[in-house]
Amino acid sequence: MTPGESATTHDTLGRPSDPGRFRRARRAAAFMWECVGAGDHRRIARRNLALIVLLAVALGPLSLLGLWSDLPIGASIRIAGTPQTVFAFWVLVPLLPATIGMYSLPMMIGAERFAFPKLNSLGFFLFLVSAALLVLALIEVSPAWPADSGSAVDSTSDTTPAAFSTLFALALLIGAAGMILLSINILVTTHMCRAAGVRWLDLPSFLWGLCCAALVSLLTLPVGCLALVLQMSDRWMQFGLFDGSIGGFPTLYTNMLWFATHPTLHNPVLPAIGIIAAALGITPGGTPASHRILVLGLLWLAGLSMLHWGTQATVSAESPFLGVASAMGLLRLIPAAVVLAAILGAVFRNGLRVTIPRLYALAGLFFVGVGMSSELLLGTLSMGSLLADSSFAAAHLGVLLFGGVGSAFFAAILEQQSRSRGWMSSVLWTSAAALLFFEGVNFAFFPDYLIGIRGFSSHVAASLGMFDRLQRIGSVGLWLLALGVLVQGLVLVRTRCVGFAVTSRSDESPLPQDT
Amino acid sequence: MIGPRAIGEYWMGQGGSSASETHDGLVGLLLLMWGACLGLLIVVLLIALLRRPDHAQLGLRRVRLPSWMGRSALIAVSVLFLAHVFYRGVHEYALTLAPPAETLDVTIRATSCGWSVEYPNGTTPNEFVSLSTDAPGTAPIIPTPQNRPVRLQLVGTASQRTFTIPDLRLRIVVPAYAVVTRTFTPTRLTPDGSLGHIVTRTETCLEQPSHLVAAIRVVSASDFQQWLRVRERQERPTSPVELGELLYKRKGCLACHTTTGARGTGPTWKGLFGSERRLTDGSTVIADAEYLRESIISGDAKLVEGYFNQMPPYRGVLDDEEIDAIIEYIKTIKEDSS
Repeated sequence: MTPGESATTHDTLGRPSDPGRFRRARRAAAFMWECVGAGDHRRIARRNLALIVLLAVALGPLSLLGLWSDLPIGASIRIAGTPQTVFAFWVLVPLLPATIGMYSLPMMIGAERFAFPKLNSLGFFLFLVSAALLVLALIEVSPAWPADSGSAVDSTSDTTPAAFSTLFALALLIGAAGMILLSINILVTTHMCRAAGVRWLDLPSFLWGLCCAALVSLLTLPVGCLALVLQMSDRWMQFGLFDGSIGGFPTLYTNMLWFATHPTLHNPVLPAIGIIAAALGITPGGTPASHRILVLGLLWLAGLSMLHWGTQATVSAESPFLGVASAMGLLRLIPAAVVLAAILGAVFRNGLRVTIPRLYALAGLFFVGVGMSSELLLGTLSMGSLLADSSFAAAHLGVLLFGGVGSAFFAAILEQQSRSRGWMSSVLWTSAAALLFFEGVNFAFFPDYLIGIRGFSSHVAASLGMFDRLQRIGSVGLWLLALGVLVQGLVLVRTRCVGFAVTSRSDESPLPQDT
Repeated sequence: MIGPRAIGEYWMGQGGSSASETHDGLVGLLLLMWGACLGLLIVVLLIALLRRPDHAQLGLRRVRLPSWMGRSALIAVSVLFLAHVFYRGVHEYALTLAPPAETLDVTIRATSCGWSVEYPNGTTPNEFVSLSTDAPGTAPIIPTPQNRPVRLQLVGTASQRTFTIPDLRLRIVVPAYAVVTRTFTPTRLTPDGSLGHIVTRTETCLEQPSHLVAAIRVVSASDFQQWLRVRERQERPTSPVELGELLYKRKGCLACHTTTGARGTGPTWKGLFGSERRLTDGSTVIADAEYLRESIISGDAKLVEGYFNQMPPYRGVLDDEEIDAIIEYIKTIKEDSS
């Protein structure tokens, strides 16, 4: 019996009381306090996941519906211009660090909690505000969606309304601030809170990918934030810093913005590679040589991604810097090949027991390989200048983010679910979801490769009535992808609700076994 | 035998410039490499998945890793290949920036939604195309001569614009208020009834939903010269004075002869007609129509005192109608005119 609670149905003043209601009230108060200031990283990770899922559910159908211009959808929600970019920034970029990373990082280094627990909570609320501003901005969007998110904030753009531009910039700014706080927390926690005797090389590859991405974010996002603040100052206070008509430097804005956004879009692949490698058998203890090679490759990729922004020809125009940017882009292929070779070598040496998580990991390996190798065409100067704004570049990012990061996320969730919780999902439904997901990514983005290699972007080709069949295949692919994600999500939710083993297990191989 | 260039041309579509031939070869080579790497990845994964030595374990026997020499050789080959690709890419890109001799300069003013095109003699296109049946055409058809380098000089507007000419393998970014030049040499004649090499705009424009900006039609050199002459005559003003003023600007007269009275390389035209001129041989002559015609045609027939022989002859360059128009224009520039 606790103080204040009576064994009978009366309180100290003799009034009747209900212990059940009192317990529920205390639980509600504890939950409210948890929402405001708690530092439990696991709960915050779950809240982040819930918010990301909510955003995906909100943005996904809108962008799918917006692909079909015949539908009676008002201009305010027709976001078919760059739905992938919006989806990438608000769903895929924070997906791995803010959910799986935040949940499992302390456990991986032998710590109880993060170095700055309250920063995680603050980051969640910043993300929440950013998402709300994004939704407001999308409601304000004009019929003419700008060609890229950078020009969406451009103060000199003649097609973007000021209200939309301001809301979108604020959403980006606040989201970037949350990402910076998370990056600080990841790096400081990993460096300072490791258990005694745990060296850097003893850390798993997922953690290395997380730290590399965090370091790059920390170095590049502040520059992007500054660019957004200066652009807003230009728009509302007419400073003229980026306005060429009064002597400003318009290319300075695109340089600063792409310095931040280009690595931001490539960063999620680093922890994804770490997850894929861990799922396929590269561990610090079991395969130390492969692990070291993988870590070296991740560091190299992270470093070059920071210097890679110049391959956007919009940034460099005709300056000699284009040659340097091209060299950086091609040099990225070497660590990519090293990383892929290390993973494949580990698969060969150690064998592979096929499970659903590992199938997702193999799919992720395929998508990362395709996405990274398409850098070969984007990095070559004469071709990259033609392909930079085309569907080819969009497909390159789509395969890496949707395919690579998405596969890694599901692989990690399923592996964590079965290993640490003992919860098993239905093999049939999980296999079906994996197949839908894999085919969806292939059908969604490979037509874009074919359209883009000819120098067209999807919306330009659509306006000219070209590549109609390929565009329809792409649309079907996106629907398949959405269906696969939906089915997998429902399976995970059902498993969470049901709990322990059902009749079939996801860690059983879906392939027929030898008798 | 199907080579890299044929493979590149298959995927990129038929090119239309000299650059597209080398560009497609590089594309074909890279696509072959890309396909080979992907194929190798798939084969390796399939082998790893399908070989089952025992029970439920899938995998190969222990693979002997290559020695440090082997690894170094692999890395060296990769780096050399990438260096070769880098060099070819930079070389091809640089070719589009450096204008060769006898280049046809075409000035393009990138308006908010389209192109405003002007040839060196001031001629503008007279045909327009639109993909919409109920909207008038606004995308100009730009005739260009076959096998002659063409330099596009694009003048930017208030916002950055990005244009792509897929058949010519060109993508041109025009920053706000900047001037950008790119050069290409069209090699393939445009078939009759075909639109030509289309030019698309990446940015969305509220006034012009179509992304089609222009179409480059490649004609033979003789047809191009014929078109240029006809077009120049069509755009010619009907008034002789206006024609004379136009020719004064377009034919280079204003480079040496002012209309304000200020001294230039040649005598000013202000108050010229009907005035008395002292020549280098000491004689005097009245600057009438006959004198002016002779001076325009031969240049140094009657050299005015105090000036050197720097005027080029315009015989064969201006016809009689054009010379008469210039003389009519000179008549209007009197001493007391502003």
